[in-house]
Amino acid sequence: MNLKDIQKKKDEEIIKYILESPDYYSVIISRYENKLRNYVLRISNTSRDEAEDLLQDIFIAVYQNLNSFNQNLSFSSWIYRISHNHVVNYWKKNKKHERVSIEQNLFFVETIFNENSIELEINNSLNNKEINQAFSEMDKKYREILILKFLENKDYQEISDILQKPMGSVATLINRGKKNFIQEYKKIHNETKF
Amino acid sequence: MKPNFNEKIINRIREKNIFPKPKIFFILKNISFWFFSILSILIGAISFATILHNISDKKELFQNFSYLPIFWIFILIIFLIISINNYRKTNNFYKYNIYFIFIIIIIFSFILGVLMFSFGVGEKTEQLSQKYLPFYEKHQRITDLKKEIFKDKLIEIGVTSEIIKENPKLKEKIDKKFRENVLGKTYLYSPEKCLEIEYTCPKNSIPFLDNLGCGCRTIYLIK
Repeated sequence: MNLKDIQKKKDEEIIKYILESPDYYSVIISRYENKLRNYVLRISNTSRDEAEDLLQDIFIAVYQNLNSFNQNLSFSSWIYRISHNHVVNYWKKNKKHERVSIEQNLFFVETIFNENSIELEINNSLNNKEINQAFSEMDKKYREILILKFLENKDYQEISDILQKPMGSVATLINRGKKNFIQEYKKIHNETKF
Repeated sequence: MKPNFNEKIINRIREKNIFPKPKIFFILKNISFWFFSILSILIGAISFATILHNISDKKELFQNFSYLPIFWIFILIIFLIISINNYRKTNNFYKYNIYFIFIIIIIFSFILGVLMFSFGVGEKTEQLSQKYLPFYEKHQRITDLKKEIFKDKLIEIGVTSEIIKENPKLKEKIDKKFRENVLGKTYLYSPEKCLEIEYTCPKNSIPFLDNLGCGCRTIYLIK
């Protein structure tokens, strides 16, 4: 089968072809390269170069673990889960400060505030710098779940599969995450005001 | 020309001879986590059955918690934790709340433990432990832990009721020390009366009589 035919297939179907020849893996890499690069940058405190190395390791790990792919999951959730685990291991190994840089927080500013969910809960006169700082101050467990929900546009089931948390916990964490963000924002806003 | 990201990955896979791990590896891994999880529940249940056996015939338990079989309580807790940890490594573990699973495992271990106790598994385990575990006698009760804590002040003397019976001087000495020092409690020491009703005690302990009846105590002597 040639590469063009493979490109028409779903991720889950491509796996069996990749197991025959790694050349077909390029289809999966092309599909997820940018998505995962953004995701890694958003959840880790790394430079672009470090993120690039991490991404390479992630794709190698995905290839090595292809046979563990559970058909009950979507391939997208599975590959995001591996990326999440890789970043967590990276934090542990490097003892990195688990905060998102201001530059990467611009994603939040651009995207989350186009979403209604948080926008409705805080007033419109928000200051971008304060928003970035508020996201930086947020608890990691809430920040990542907000990234998945609002930036990666994942539904509850997918987030549950990626973070390996029960569905009920996902809903709770998203709600708490929003509250946590508003709390941090108010704190920063009041400090800068006076 | 500089290779793009896609080519870099494929080249790395080819150059370093990287292959997908075989399916059987993942199947065995998952099975092993389930196996060890179930095995841990079983060991936990056996511990619970032995705890029940140890406390079932001890009325004194409610007066003196030194009768608590801490060795088995410790084993029960350790294996419950191991069981939950193994379960957490299985596929799909995250679909259920971990506290819910924790409660299910505890209930399951306890029910299984009660069943095992009713079939005599607790008694058999106690007997086998006394026979084959050299450290078991020393560490199974709180009194023995206290001995460890005060090890520079207390020494154990290996006496049996038979030796005491044949050695009135030793009996007198132990009787005095026992009254004065055994964990700060005074018991009416009267082994003969207990021996009359064929009350026997394990190695390194002697019978005593208190207001609840005959019991066994490990003997310590102050240096």
